Formats: sequence, structure tokens, C-alpha cells
Amino acid sequence: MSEFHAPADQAANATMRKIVTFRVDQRTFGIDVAAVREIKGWHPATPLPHVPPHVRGVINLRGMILAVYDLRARIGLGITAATPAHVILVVDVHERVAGLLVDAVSDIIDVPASAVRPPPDVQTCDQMLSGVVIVGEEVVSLLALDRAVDANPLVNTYPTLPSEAA
Amino acid sequence: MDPMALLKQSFLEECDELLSALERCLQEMDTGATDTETVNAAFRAIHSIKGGAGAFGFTEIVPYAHGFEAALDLLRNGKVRVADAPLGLFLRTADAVGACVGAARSGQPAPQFPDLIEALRQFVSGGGAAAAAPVMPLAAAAAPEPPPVEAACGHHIRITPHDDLFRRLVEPPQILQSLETLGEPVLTCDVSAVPLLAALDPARCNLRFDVMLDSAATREQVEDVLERCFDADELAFISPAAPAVVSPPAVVMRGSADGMTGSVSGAAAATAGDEAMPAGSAGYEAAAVAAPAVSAGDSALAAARQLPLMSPLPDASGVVPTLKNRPAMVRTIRVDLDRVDRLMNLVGEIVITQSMLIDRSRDLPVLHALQLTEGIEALTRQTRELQDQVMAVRAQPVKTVFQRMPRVVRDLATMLGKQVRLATCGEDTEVDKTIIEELADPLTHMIRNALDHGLENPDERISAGKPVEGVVTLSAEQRGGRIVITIADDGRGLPRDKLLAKAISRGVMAADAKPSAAEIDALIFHAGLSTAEAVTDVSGRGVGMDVVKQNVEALGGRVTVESEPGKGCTFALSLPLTLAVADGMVVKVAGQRIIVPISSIMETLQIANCRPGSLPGGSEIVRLRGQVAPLIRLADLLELGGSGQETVVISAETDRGEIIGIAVDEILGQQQVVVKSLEASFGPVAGASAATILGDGMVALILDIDALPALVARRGQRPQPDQPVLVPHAA
Repeated sequence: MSEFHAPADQAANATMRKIVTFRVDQRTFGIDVAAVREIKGWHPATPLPHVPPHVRGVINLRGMILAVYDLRARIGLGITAATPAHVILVVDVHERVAGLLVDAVSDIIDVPASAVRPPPDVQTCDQMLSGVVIVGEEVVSLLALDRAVDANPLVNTYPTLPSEAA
Repeated sequence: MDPMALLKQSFLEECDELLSALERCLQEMDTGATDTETVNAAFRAIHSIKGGAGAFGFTEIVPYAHGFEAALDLLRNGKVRVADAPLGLFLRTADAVGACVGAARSGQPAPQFPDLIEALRQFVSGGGAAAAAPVMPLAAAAAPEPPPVEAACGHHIRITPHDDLFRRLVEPPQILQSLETLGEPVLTCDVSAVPLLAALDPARCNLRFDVMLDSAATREQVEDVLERCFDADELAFISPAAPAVVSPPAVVMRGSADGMTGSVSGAAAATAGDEAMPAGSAGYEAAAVAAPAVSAGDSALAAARQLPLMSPLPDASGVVPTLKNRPAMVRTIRVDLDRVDRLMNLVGEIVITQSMLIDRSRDLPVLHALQLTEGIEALTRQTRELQDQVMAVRAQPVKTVFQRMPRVVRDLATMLGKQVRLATCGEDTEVDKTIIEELADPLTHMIRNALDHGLENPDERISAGKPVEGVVTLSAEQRGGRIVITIADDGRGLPRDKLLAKAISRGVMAADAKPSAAEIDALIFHAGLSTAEAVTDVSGRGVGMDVVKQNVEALGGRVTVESEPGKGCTFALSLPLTLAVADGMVVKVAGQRIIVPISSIMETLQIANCRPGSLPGGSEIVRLRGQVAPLIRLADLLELGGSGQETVVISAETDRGEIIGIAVDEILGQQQVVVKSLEASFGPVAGASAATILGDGMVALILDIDALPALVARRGQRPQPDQPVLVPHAA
């Protein structure tokens, strides 16, 4: 795996963040390494009824039921044609554990916290990013996990429906 | 945690149990039980609390327990009739003790109820006066006690401790010392039962004490002191009439505080190696520690051995046991619930592994498969039994919750000025402990509602031609794989016009809606709709039934209401019997395996045999047992695609008694499944109550039969049936 290095002058005295980077459709995303429990290969999921398409279903993670979210579908690029080469990141989101289906895991990088910039104002994915960081030539979009693994539809990706008589 | 803290904690836990036993007894008395055993049981409970509280230094509990005990004693010896007992005072005292226990647990200062202590004291002293004209003594039938030995002659008490005396952390010196507050005790210790060194178990108590107490104190006072440390059956008051045959004294000690210092173990250390300990002067210390001290050297044993043996016990008639009924030995242990949970999880894992084995055996050559099947069948039987047994460990009768309710009713009825009778049935129905624990709040709430809103005021009832006394019925029964708890009242029923008006004013329902009576009644579960005219202390804030509904649904249960204006209202909670393992039928629908709970299935039929048809409007129907039932194609309803392959109809009954036909492609088999919550990882899934893991490691959904009719109805209202529709999640 290739090594990414933040500019030395920044790395010297800033707090560092360890980020796991992964790829979805030629884009690079990242999440804090502390949120990742494990990384496992794709396993066919049991679909759930009445859920938006980015909820791929549930799998058995050593006796625990784990809901898997398709990140590609989540950002509006269509459903992943999952193969055994695809990867499920098992992540902690608050009290829950969730699976995130991505194309491949790239690397673990150290970035200074100061290098993380706020996400651009125009977010097509309903505040799904918590920030961006530029590493060498590449833009790494840091995911806001709680928004990414939400079963509710994204406001501007899927049509909303009238909720129950309320 | 240090051992003492552990002991204290365990004592506080025990207090909870004792208090609940106490409250049960008081309730029995309230409902007219007058038998000696009830009073005795209450007495034992408060007595144990008092003893433990004293021993563990929870002194703030002692005054209430003491006063309570004294008051109950008047009942016990028949000086006051049970019917005349101040049960309100007793209940409040029990509460006060409970509050002190709670405070002790959280390390907060104990609340003070000086008025209670005073009230109890007055009752007790008044009771003494009432004794001049004694009523029918309670204990008369059981065991007529001879008149208490009175002051002038002093007391002779023989203490024959159980051999676990030392293990009880009891320190006899201190207790015996405290007798000095009553008079001058002369203590004799019989060491004849102490075995030879080789056979000696230092933790066993082989001692027996005789106390001659020259005191003006009454027998009750002496008992009071001694029972802090000894069980009632360890004490025997020997009436002076019987010949006191203690001769010559074994080890005699004239009560002086100095001689009785130190704990048993401390004394053991002190005397260890004290070779020249003369029998006469070794005094109490030697006697109290005779057992441990022997280990120090033969000479000590020799000293003990040389002591004259105790004479045989006097004639049995001279020995009066203070408490005839010793509490029955409870053969139970206390186990951390987490351990049982882990055990249950493990059983779940075994069930999954077992279905994996069954799956794999299908791939074997026939001969091998047959041999294996035999083993698997045995395993299946054993797993099932294992699971039943573990579940039985977790199961508790609903009585544990139900018994709190009479109190709620009693207090509330007084406050509201209504006459209410609470009838309960099916208290012995057993449910998983987790469910029991979660039931108390919803039940209390619904009972309060029934009393406050459901039942009319006495004059309203009279003018409606009803008996003044309202009846609230609380019942539990097992129905299939579920337990159904109903709370029914014979009051005015739900005020439908008010509910509807409120729902419309709050925008919950359209102004021109024409809901059915049942739909209006169901509004009671909607957040923010309370029909009480005024917010009272009791209820009326509109945060009631919707919370109940949430609580019950979180348990995998459902709550429904049936109401008849003027006749009353019935709430029914339907709960799963256990949260862990269920029997399921594995069916195939559009390539997916789905579990249908066996408990809801009535029969399975070929689709052609049940005359499928459709109603105008498109709803499909089938004939099941001569009835027309809706046909639900699971592939359609669960949006699995590929409907039209159905060959089998499963006829199932929901908890509301509706019969539905569920069309599936194929029935694959039947197996035990481990219920795994979907809520924990995802959230509620419409149509699936939970999920399970099959033998090949895949997850399968467990169908929520009871929710299907509503799901079908909602589906009918969809604007665009072919678009995926999101079911809103509970916020």
C-alpha cells in the first residue's frame, strides 16, 4: 500500500487523526480509525422489506444481526453490484454497530486535525460529510457516519413520503 | 468490593424480598386472612430485617422495624385481632423501611418518619391495655403458650445455636453482653459436644449456652435482645417450674463487660497457645472459642474435655420453643441475571449450530446421513429440554407484578373517593423475568387510568344502576406462544366523542373523517390525547397510554383496547412468552427464506384447495375453515418480487383473532429459531418482528403475523403501489 504523508510543517505540532480511507466509485472517503471495528468481505445480505435501496439488508456477524448500508447507493450513484471483492466496514455509530458496503479499503493515513476543512457548502448528500482533507493529489471526504448509516432517505436523493397520520 | 460491603449489599437485596413478602402478608390480612401463619410470616419478615439491619449497622432501619415487630407481636399473640389491625399504619411503615433500605443502598441519608415510630409506639402501648380484655387469641389453635415467665423469678434461657453460628458472623459475646442492660446474666457454656481435634471443624459451632438472667425484664424483652443474633428455634425458655438441671456449670462467667471482649476469631488468636488455661478462669472467652481454640493445642482441648458434661436436657415440657413455625428451608440460590442471560445466549448458539448440522447432514451419502440423523434427533430433544430448563430459570409468575397492584388500587381509591375492588386471576402464569420487570410500569399506569377515568364516581354509578363498588379485573393467561394480560373495568367506557373531538382539534384526524368505533378507541394510544377534563394528580397529562404502548411494543408485545360505552373498557397486552427461542416454519418466498412462527399457524393448505378469489377492488380472498379470509401474498407484501409462484396457503390467526391466509411458494421445514432483535442494529422493520440465523449462517426474517393485516391495509392506501414506499420509523 502506498504511504500518504501530510506536509511535514503541519505534522510537526498538530494533533494527528488516524483515518481509514476507502474507495467508492473512484472517490475516496475516510472515517476515523477508532470507529472501525473490523473489515470483512462481502457476504450476501438478507433484504429487508420496506426500506430505501441503500439499506442492503442484514447479515450475520458472529451471531449478531448487522444492517448493511450501500454507500454507493447512499450517495446516489446506484446500487453496488457486490462481488466477493467488495468490502464491508463494520463501524460503531453511537450505540449501534452497522456495516458499510464499499468498493475497497485503501489505506490508513495520519492527518493533522488542522488539515481537515469543513465540507463545501453545496452538499448533494444531505450533510453526509463531516469534512474534507487533501492528501497529496487526492481529496478525501470524511463521512459523518451517523448520517451515512441512516435508514431514513436523504432529503435530496429520494422523495419523501407523508409520514403516518401525525 | 470488600467482603463486608458485599454482605451489606446482599442484605439489602434480601430486604427487598422480605419487604415484598411482608407486603403480601399485609395484603392477605387486608383481604380478611386471619390465620396465624400470615401474621407469623409478616413477623418473621420484619424480624429478619431488624436483625440484619442491626448487625450490618443500618441503625436507621431498626426503630421502624422494631416498632413494627412489636405491633405485629400483639397480633401474633392474639392481643389484637387481625381485623382490628391498623393496616394503613403497617403499610406506611413497610414503605418507610423500604425507603430506608433504598437510601442505604444509594448511600444517602435515610428519610425520617418520626410520626410513624410514635404511632407504632402508641399502638403497642395501647395494645398492652387492650390485653386486659383479650380477644380470641390467634395462636390458640396452633400452640397454646404458657404464660410468660414474669419478672420476679428471672429467666433461664437455653441457647442451642445451629452449628453455622460462626459463619453467620454472629458475635455471641456482644449479644450476651447486651443482656447486661436487662439484668445480671450468669452464663454457662456446655462444651461437651466439641469433638476431638482430629474431627474438629473450626467453623462449626459445637457450643451450647445457658443463661440465667436475674432481671425484671419481660420475656419479650429478653427475646428481643437475643433474637438479634439467634434464630427463634435456637432459644428455649426453661420455665422455673421445671427442674433446672445444670450441674455443675461447665464454664461460668459472671457478666462483666471486660471478660467478653473481642470477636470469636480474635479471641481464638488470643487463646491460641495459651497452654496453661485453667478451666475455671478461662471464662467465657475460652468457652466461646472452644472450637477454634482447640486447634491451638491439645492442652486447651484437654481443659475443655475435663469439664463436666452437661446434664441431659430437662423434660421436653419444660422447654418452650419461642416460635413454633420455623421458616421453611428455602432451597434457592441467588444468581446474577447476566449469567442466566449468557446461558440463554449459549443455548441459542447451540440451536443454530444444531440446525447447521442438520443442513450439512443432507449433503452426506444416505447411509451416513441416517446414522447421523439418529444422533441429531437426540441432540434436538436434549437442546429443547435444555432450553426449557433455562427458560424455567428465567420464568417468574406474573404474581410478582400483580401483587403490587392491590396497593395501588387501595391508595388511589381512597384518594379518589371511589369504592373499588380489584379482582385478579391467573397470577401463576409464568413469563420471562425481563418481561415481568418491564410490566410493572405499564400495568400501574393502566390500573390508575381505569380507576381515575374508567370508573365513575359512586353517585354516577348509582344513577347508572350499577353497584357502587367498581370492579377492576386484572388477569393473565397463556395463549399459544404468548401471554395475554387484560385490565378490565366496569366503568363508563372510553368517551368516543371527546376522543374524536380532541383528535380533530389536534389535527390527528381529518375533520370529515368517519372513523369506526374501534379506530376512535385506538386514539387513546395516540401521544398527546388525554380526555380527562382536568389534569389531576393521578392522570390526565396525556402522556399515558402512548408510553404504555411504546413500552409494550419494545418488549415485542402489543396492546389493544375494547370499550363499550357505559359497560366498561378492557385493555389487553399480548406479550411473547420468551424473548429468546421460538418454533418456526421455514418457508420460501421469491427465493428468500422466511420464518413463520408456529404459534400463530392453524393449518397449511394447497392454494387450489382453498378457493382463491377476489373482491371488487382487487383484494384477494380465500376460504379457510368455511370462513372468508384475506389472502396475503408475502412476495408482494414484503416487496420481494416474483409473486405468482405461490403453491401453499398458511392459515394463521393474529392476536386479535383475525384469520388470514398467507401465500408462500414452498414450505421448507420446521425448526427452532433463536430470536434476534432487528431493533438493536437497525430499527423496527414493518412485517418482521425479529430475525434469526439459519444453519447456513444466513439471516432470515421472522414474520410478524399480528402486524400483517395493518400492513395490508396501509398498502392499500399507497398512492403509487409500484414505487418503493418507506415505512416511517418511530422517531
